[in-house]
Amino acid sequence: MIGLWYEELEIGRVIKLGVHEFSADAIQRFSSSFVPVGFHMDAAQAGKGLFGKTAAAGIHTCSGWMRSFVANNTTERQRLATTGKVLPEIGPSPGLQNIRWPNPVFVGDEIHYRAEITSKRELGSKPAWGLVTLLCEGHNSNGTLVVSFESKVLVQRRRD
Amino acid sequence: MSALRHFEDFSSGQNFALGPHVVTADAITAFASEFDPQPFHLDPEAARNSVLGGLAASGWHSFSLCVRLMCDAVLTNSAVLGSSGMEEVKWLKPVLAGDELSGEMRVTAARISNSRPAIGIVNFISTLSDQHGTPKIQVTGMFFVRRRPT
Repeated sequence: MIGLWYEELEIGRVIKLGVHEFSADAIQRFSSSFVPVGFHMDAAQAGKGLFGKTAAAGIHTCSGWMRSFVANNTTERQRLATTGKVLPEIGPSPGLQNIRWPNPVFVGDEIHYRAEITSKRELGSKPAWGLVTLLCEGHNSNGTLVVSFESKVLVQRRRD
Repeated sequence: MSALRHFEDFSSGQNFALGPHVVTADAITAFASEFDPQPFHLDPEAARNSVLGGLAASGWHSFSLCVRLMCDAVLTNSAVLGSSGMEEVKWLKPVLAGDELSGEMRVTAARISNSRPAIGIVNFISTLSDQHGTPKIQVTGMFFVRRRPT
């Protein structure tokens, strides 16, 4: 993760991932592809829904986090590679927990994404890897939390 | 709109069939280029040598597809109001290009909201497997749905 080995990732470390804007077009494309329910697709139905106007799908807000995470990861790996550092492989994720969408994301909202390392443990079954838990969040420009979840990711342990 | 499902139409133990849906290489790379541009989601050659073992859908893509198949089977024809969250997403095995996903959404609980008595809360577990029967993704979550107007 971000070009670091399991041993280099410290609990409590916060990674600011950057900002992602949700345009009307992007919200419409995502919802029509993956969540084509009335209140995401139709302004009149959205008006009578929980939020009063069209909002981004929750999984769209999550996918925006991933986009920001990958961009950050790629930049960091490239930066570290130029220093001659040997980088770990990118490990897979077994899943997510406690996904929360406490507030909606509307057209034009800019979401600031972050990740915090909250725990890590070694794996008896996979001695070459460790499991790192990230608390992942997105806030709008008013500082209101719009998405949070815990993501687990496998990170390679240093071989030496 | 009388055919629209409301809270009263959901009960614990119900099963709804999801899919089938074939995940194409084009769909995998289109999603990944926008949201998860890593080599094993974009490039078949790089993917073959990766831990995923072939061109694999982003986990966020398979999560999104699971929601889409739930929409097709249940939600677009229900008075749904959204979701405040999901308890868990398990990426059990990589979803590979050409996989045909199908599965079920099982209702695990249905209750009326304490704070908003016009709204019900439905809990579910959805699982999608490939054409060989290997489970690939499991989503445990909830959605809000209106009660039937009296």
